Amino acid sequence: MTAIPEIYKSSSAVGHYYSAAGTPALNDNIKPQSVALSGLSNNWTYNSSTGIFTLDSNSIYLFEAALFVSWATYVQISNMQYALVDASTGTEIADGYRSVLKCWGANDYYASSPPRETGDETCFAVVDGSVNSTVALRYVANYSSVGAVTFTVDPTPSANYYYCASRLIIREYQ
Amino acid sequence: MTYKLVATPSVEVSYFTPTISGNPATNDYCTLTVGNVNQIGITGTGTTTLTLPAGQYHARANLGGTKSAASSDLSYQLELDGTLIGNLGGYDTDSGFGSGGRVSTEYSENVFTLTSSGSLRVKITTASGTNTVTATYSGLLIRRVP
Repeated sequence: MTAIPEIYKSSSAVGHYYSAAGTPALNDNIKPQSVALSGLSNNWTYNSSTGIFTLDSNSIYLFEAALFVSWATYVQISNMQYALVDASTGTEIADGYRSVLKCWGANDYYASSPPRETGDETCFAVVDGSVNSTVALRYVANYSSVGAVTFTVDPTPSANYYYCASRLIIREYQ
Repeated sequence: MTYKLVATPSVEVSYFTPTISGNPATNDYCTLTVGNVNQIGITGTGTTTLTLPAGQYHARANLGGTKSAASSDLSYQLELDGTLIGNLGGYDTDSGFGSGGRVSTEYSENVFTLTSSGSLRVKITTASGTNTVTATYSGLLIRRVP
């Protein structure tokens, strides 16, 4: 006789990564330097020097990230875009979408021709650890009507502008 | 006698990509295409209607694409069994603070319980001007406790 009992288990490890200060170039990884972990013991690892997460092949992951940036050049029609990518190939994760951060207010930004991108300011992705073993949050695209786009992630707080903070949340379903 | 222990995750995840061809119009529905992860076993990929099995759900839809002018508008909402649920999501409109415009996009999300199978769609509730909804900037996350 073979019995196959099923057990419903709640298994989730969560990590909140933050403090990603830096001035990334296009196609650089965003590299948070601090983490707060909760839930079960996590099976992923993270390299703060490269910004790469190494995932467990038996788990499904939810990633959610939001960046706070200050712009070096205030150009009305400019944006930066970031997304979760496969760290070995650079391909954006299929079950995910890009975030779009706009430099200026809507009236100036959307006055451009051709039409400008808009989207959630929070990047999201679902990753199967058996499909993508290493991932990273990456600055993947930008647009500017006048030239280079430069910005600082998590700048030093200033009295001149309201300050918030970047975050990356990883949830591992084991 | 052999016992085989099977541990079933209590939270299942599925991901679909919403898109619309051309310039969305009011009352249009997004085409929803499954990605790599569909633990819930939702059916209907490639159509505008997903069929969900019974369970307790959290669903979150975000649409993104392009706008041709600040005055172009696009709002959207989850629709469950023909009824709109959750909050409105939408693109930026006009100049934001001080003018009554909407500064940043927000996703449409809600939690709900199905005692039997149900249908889920992403509906365009308001559209004006010229916009696009593209896969690069759009996603539908569905989580379920069986």
